[in-house]
Amino acid sequence: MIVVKDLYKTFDKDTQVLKGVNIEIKKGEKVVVIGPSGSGKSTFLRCLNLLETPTSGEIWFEGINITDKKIDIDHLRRKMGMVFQHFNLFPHKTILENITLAPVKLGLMKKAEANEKAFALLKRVGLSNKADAYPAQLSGGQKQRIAIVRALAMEPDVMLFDEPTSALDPEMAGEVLEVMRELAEAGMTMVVVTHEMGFAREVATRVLFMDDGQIQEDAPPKEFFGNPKNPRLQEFLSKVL
Amino acid sequence: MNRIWYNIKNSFSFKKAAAFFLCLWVLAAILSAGVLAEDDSPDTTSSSVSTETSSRTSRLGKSPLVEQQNSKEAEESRLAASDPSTGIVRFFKDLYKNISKKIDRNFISNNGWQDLLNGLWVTLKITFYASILGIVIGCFLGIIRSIYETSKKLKFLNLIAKFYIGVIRGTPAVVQLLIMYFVIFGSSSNKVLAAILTFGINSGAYVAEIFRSGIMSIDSGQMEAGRSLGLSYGQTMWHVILPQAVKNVLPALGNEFITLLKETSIAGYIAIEDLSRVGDRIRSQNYEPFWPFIAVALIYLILVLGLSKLLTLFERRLRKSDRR
Repeated sequence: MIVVKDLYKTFDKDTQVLKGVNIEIKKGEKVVVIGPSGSGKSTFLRCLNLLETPTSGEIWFEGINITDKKIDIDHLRRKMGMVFQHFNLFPHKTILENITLAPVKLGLMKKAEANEKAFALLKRVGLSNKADAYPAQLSGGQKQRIAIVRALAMEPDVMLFDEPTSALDPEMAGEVLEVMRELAEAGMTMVVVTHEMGFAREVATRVLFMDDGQIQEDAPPKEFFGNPKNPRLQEFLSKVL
Repeated sequence: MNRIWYNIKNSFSFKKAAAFFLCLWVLAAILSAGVLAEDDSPDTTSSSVSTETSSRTSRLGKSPLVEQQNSKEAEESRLAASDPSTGIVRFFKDLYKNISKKIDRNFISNNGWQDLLNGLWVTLKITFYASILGIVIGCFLGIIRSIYETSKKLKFLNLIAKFYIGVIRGTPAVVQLLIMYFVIFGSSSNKVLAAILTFGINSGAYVAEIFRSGIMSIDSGQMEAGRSLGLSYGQTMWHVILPQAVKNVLPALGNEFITLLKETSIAGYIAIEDLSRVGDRIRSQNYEPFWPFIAVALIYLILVLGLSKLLTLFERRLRKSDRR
């Protein structure tokens, strides 16, 4: 579904963040990316839907090379939902408007249809009573659940999570992880950058360890946590676990 | 100290402030009318001595002494003298008479009120179209400038915008108006159109910087969120960034419109009969500067107070998403 070939990303000419990332993600996989700060995991994730333009390398999504300049990236992004660390809800719109804005403005659904879908999704995350509230009236955990719903309303094929719980206290993080877990069980393809080791262990089908702009280890969670091969990963795990 | 300031801040209300200034103005008008009444009233022209005496004595609050009784004009003053009212009552009666005379002379008998209304209409027309033009130009340039500042794209357009803003902000509006009318319009065609274009172009430069700051005050995550949902740059700008930016810059924008409204008073430089110019013309008819200018100032004041009230309401409406 997603194939990344020789991905390089350089900021300001001399800061090399990604130094040749190669990976293939299949449909239905739940890939969790962990690694120390500054290892390039967020940049890697943001390259997948071209929020960052790769310096070189290729990214293929559903058989299309999205790094090709001629590609209509807006069209492809509809199929890739993204959830941010700081939620990035639209503060001037109600929750319902946040969710329905993109589907309606892009002409994918009629307004009534979008509303119906939004309510169904809100019910799924237990926030249907917040439809007419504004983001400022919600807690962090609620905001992030709404952000997930907003991305889901576009009916994406893959969901990208960029440290979705890093700005939340443990209780709120729990609410959000619960939603993500249900999403995983429903068969969504997911790429999750996180520091939640528990989530990685229980939900992931594959765990990647990124350091120094490269994927150092790529293994199922059991092997990743039980028998890590890379010495840098062994050191990292000994510190965080 | 803090507490006093707190009390002042909380007891301040728009209505009270407006009423206070209006009262101040009217009081000033009445007082100076009273002073002027003594030597400037039309029926004192021939029999200055007698009426002057009467009005002076009346101002002092004493019973008038009538000395001259022969002339026809003196008859009038005798009538006035036989008026039983004295003292302060008399003062206010004279005051009322004088004020109504002045108002009649400045605004009624010469159709001054109609000219003022026409002038007001011209001022409003120029302000309205100029502010629309200003918003359009400003929005456009502000977006170009902010795109350049955040992504270094549109380098050439940004240069043009910077040049435009620099030139417009660096020269006086009067000079721009004169150039627009006498050089570009060749002093022949539509004056009001020249004024609208000048003020619109002038305002656009300021609005551009206001919009730029507004757009750049929005967190970059908003754009990313919009784009990640598949919205285009333009769609995200229109539905997500601009509404928030406008909300943030509304006070500054309101300030700009108020400035614009008052700045149109220089339209008289190219002989447009706007509100200020009409006031000046009425002054030149009667050589009585007080009434026409006070009237013009009052009209501007009411316009600006109304405009700022409108902006406050609008702002409150936009702020409803901030409620917690």
